[in-house]
Amino acid sequence: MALRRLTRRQFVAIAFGAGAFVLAACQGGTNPSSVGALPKINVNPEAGTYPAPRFSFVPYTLPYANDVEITGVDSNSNATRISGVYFNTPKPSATTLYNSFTARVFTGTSTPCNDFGWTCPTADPQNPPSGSNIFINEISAAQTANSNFSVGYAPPFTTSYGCAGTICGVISDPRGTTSSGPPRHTYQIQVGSCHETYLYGTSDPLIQVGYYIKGANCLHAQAFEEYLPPHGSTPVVVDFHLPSNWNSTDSMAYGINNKGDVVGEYRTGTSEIGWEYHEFCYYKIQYDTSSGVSLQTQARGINWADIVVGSYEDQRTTKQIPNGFVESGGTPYTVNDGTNEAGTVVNNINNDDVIVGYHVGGGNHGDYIGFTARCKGSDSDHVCPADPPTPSSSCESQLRTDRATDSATRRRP
Amino acid sequence: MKYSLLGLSRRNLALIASAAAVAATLCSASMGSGASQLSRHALRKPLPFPWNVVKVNVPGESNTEVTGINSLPVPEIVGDYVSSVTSGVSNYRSFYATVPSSGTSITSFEDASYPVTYKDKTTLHGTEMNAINSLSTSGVPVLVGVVSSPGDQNGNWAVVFNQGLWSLTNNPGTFKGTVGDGYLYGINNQDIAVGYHTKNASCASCSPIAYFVAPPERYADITFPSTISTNVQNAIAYGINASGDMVGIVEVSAGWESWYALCKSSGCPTESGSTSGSGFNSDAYCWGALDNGGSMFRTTAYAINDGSLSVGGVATREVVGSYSDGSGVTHGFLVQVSRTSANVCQQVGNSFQKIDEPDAASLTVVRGVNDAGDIAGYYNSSGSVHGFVGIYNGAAERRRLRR
Repeated sequence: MALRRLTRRQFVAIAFGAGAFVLAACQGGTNPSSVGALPKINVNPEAGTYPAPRFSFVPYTLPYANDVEITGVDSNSNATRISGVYFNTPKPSATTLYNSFTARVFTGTSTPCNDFGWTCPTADPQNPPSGSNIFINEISAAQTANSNFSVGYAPPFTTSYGCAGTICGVISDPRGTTSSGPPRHTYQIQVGSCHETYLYGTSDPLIQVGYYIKGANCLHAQAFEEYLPPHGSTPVVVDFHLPSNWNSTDSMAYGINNKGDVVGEYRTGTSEIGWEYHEFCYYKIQYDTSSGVSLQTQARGINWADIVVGSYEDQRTTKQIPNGFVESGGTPYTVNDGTNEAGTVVNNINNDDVIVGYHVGGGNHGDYIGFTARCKGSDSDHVCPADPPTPSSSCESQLRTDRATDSATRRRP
Repeated sequence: MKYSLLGLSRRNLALIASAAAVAATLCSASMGSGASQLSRHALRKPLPFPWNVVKVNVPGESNTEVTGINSLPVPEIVGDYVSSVTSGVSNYRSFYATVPSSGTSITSFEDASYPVTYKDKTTLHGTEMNAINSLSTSGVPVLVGVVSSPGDQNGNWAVVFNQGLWSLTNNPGTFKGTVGDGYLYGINNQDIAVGYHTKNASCASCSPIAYFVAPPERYADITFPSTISTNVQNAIAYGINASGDMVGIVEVSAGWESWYALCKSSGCPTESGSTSGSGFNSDAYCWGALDNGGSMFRTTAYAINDGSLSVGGVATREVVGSYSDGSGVTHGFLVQVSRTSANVCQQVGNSFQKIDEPDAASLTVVRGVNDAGDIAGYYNSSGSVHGFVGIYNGAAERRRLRR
């Protein structure tokens, strides 16, 4: 089972059983590379042994949790704020799955948690979105004082966000103040009639991306973008329509940069393939297609320079462990700790090329170890991804043919 | 020279152009073989106003301007207005709307403003959408414009609004966006947009900076032929039609003047993606100017249509814009241009038409013209600016030019 499923969908499946978001497992099948000759597809990036780690990893651990996953990093280059999720011991139960936090760190060079006089989060929550069982996915640079704009989603038993019995996207906007309420506004987002909406990404212009469940039996995911126009309080929700010849049954949007470029993954048959939306064109992102076995590639984050990060399963061993990747201009760079034991997932990248994510496995019984990391340098063993050139190859465009937006609600709980 | 949002783009041009002091400094420049006869025609007796006026004012807001109109059977417009003043700072926001088949005003508007502009609230910021095409490659009109301070970003950003999705572009080739600003003013049905970008922060000693973009990110600076000038300081491309014909303004040593470029038989950017980053082929066009000679001061050509006009068997386009008459009054204009069989750009004789919105006090600017000859723009009256759409009513004076 793919690592990503463990971290995201497994929780959903645990909570909601078969009636929730259940998709077919990878069982081989069509060679996804045959779908079309598109950029950003690499048969076997950096084949052979694992490359030497290019990144200097700074583990981010918490004294009261076995598992920490760093999910987001804001776009600022210095006093970086991160978002993350930790899992309590024992492992997630039916009513306690995970807790979210945000923290301020100086990534790459210093001791985590306590830079700039800040202390490690000692209680949940440290920052919005508050409360247990919120899965925070990304943090924006937009902030007031010590709180940042952040997004995630809430499972149905999280009643404090007014979405009991459903899964709803949540937005914590610290910029607003009210005389009678808390000094921040928290919104829930619900798109469609299946009552399952997930937010995964946000940008500094406060445009959110994620997916919602749709279909007659509520079994398919639809990637969408959401934002609030300057006027009014009705959100604009726009679906991403992937090229029709990709034959996608499900699509998810995970990350968005400040220019509006978006990344995610889609499913076709038993394949999971990354996608990138860049200036009204869609690109596939898919790695290690060497055996024809459909493995998973997921594009998780994209920064200002259109450098994409995510994870892919490789076939160097039979373990099919996930590798992180950093893709720049169509060239993928593998991101792992070089042990060939622990999987690595890169969840996001900021405008200073700081990446965040987590390792899994290692010597600690599969615990998740969050990390922030910078590229080591430019020596021959540690070639850092460069800003990509302007795309020159063709793209595939499949935009909707109507102007309608999907119904959505955005309200304060 | 540093161009700020809302500066050179529109209001500067209109207001500056309306100043007699500026007008007095302008002079005719060396132009190509297609150099304009605009000045002579400008002195002719104005033709009747062959448009039915539809007033455009966003309710509750001020200074509405219509900046673009497309060629759909039921035309759509795009424009902007000054939103409510917050802490002494006005914000600009944008809209699009459908022109009603009857009536004299538009009452229904849809928001076309970038979601968040907040970084620098001490100066003007907001969204100015400048053009809307008729049918993009996706089958839905696309809007282009400029956003000042999107999100927490400084500067002015070219922006494309396509089916609810926003994409920003700053300075082509400068991915970090630390230098320069980007502006888009026109887009054709092949999703090829035109505008300009600054090449450095101060825009001092800029080389030609007009550019066009055909998604995804195919840029090319427009280089002007020597017939325009060998001493080009700055340039802006304002409009492009489906045939790839373009209009704009260029600053030469003597001042600003308008240019137009009509595509020859091939080599023009008429398909999305046909323009690589390798450069722009100025030889694919004939070039002409709507200069400032005679009593004409400061012309600004904003848009060119792709109508099926035919004068003497030669395909003819209509160009709209504005000019100052040297007495503090800014007029709109419409003029027809064509390309001869010898690939010479020329203004169609007797085609110039001064346009003054009937209620205008001292300012009429025509920003858009569609293939049916409908126009759109703004005018001043009673101390504020109002948008308008002119639905071509088939007046005989103009029809005779059509065929």
